Amino acid sequence: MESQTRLLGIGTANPGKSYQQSEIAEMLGVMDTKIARIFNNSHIKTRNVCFTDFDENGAVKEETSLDLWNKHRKYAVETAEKAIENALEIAGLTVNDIDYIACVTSTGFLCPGLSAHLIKNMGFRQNTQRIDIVGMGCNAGLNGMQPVTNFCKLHPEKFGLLVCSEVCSALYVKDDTIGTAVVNSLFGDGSTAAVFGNRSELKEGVGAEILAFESFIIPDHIDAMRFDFNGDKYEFYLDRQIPYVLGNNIEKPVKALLKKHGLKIRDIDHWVVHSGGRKVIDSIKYNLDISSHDVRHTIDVLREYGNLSSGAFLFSYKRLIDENIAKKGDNLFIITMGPGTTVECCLGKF
Amino acid sequence: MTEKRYDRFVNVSMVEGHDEIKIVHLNRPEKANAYNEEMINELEATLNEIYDDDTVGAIILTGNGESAFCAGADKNEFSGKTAENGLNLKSRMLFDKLANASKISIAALNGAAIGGGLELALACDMRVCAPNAEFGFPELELGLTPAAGGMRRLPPVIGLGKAKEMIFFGKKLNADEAAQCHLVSHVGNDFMAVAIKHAAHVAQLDPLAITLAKKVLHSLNQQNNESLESVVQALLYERKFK
Repeated sequence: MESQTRLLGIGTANPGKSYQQSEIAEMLGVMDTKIARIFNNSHIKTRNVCFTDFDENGAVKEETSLDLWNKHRKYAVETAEKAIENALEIAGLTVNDIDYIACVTSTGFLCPGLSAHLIKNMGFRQNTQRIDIVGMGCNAGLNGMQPVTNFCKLHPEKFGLLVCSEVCSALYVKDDTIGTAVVNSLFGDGSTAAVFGNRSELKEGVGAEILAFESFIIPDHIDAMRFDFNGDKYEFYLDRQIPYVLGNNIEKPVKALLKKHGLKIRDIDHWVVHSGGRKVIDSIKYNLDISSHDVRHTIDVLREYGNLSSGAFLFSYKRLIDENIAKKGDNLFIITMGPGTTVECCLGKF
Repeated sequence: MTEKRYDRFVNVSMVEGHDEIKIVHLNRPEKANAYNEEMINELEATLNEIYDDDTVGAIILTGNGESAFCAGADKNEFSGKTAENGLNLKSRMLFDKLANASKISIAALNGAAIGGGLELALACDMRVCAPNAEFGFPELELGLTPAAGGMRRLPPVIGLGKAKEMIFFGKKLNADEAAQCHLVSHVGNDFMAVAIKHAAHVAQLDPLAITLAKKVLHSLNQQNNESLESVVQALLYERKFK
């Protein structure tokens, strides 16, 4: 039987502490009722964030850009290591078995990149091939998955590792603007690692065969999600039109990829969608005419962790695998969205 | 033969610039948006989600297609109905929940609202319609009564005399007649824009004040209670379909 490039195991880890959404608002000193409403209406219950320095009233102290950079470096590496250990254990592999690593992060800039730190700390082989994907935002997990799965298809006996490690709290700024409140109320910290390799058969705990990817960028909305440099720190900006931009465009890449494989939306058995925010999820759900049940993991991950950026979809995918409901022949569709404005899609078959 | 269908019976859309409004579409235009059990279940799940969404302040209900908002219950599902079905009529419970929901609902009637379709529109807090809309309660001709809140909600809106014209004598109202007796608040091809304008207005009001105001206004209409309505329908189901 021809071997197929499949997901062999997903590991997840979250740094810091899991806080109630209301606690985070309190620690960030939210007083304004409009801003408090943004926190309360986010459909997020808890999030892991790395707050380390508090004043005598328990409020988070203003962090310098150096503090934030250090925070990213420390937790992006540490948390990724935990996620990788978890993923390798599930896949029944060790660091020595990994031939290719793709590391994704947008919440801090490291040189040498995250992949180099992980190789050094975890003892991956010195001839491990690697790539670091930096600054592509929430969609970038699928951008990282493409080279990993391409590598595995080219080398059926080898194994690849995708790592998404985001410390979104290393991008928090403290001010009273609505824009900052939207960012600070939404994003959480977390890392994921996914091992890919070739297996001829679907077994319990193993994911879908990766069939194809489809990319789509909407250049007219290049500014809808972006970093603004304020002279000291990077501030993330999210336009309030994002749900509508995505909603109006989501069908194009989804249907294009499905058409190439002779499929329709109704043929998809399992959906894994990036937990971008409640309105974004609603918009995608409504425009593809899929049900809340289809995006149950996406909604649950948002509720429990907030938007984890590039690795969020792997948290949802892990829940789908753990449900153990996918049958041989079931179709899987993964969607991630991010700056550009970008939609990345992936089609798989269990 | 089972209807082979892949689209969902109920869709939702968002209004650009108005995150606080959700538009719920009945999506069975080939059957004049008549509701079957599956559509009622989908509508219930959709509305429940919206009720739980604190960011939504107003709901607009409309129908897909140009001719009908909703032609009421699918007649193909009537056979085999029992007294118990009449007592526990799902549409009645669903429409009552909509009427009593803390969120304001507006029916944007793209076409005919007949039978249960009119009852659904009556469960909303406001109705606006397209010029081709028409309204009627044909239930008595089928040996039934409007049992999903129509008899309770129609008289306070248009008056008992006019309600009797519609229910007993099969009087159908066109859009202008419906406006004259205050069944709809606006007639025009711009009905959806008008619905969105009203929805945007109420969505920014204090939710608690809206909830309390709805409770007070609904308390004025408690003399025609729903248990009487359900017993009537149970009796008629038992006689007609068993």
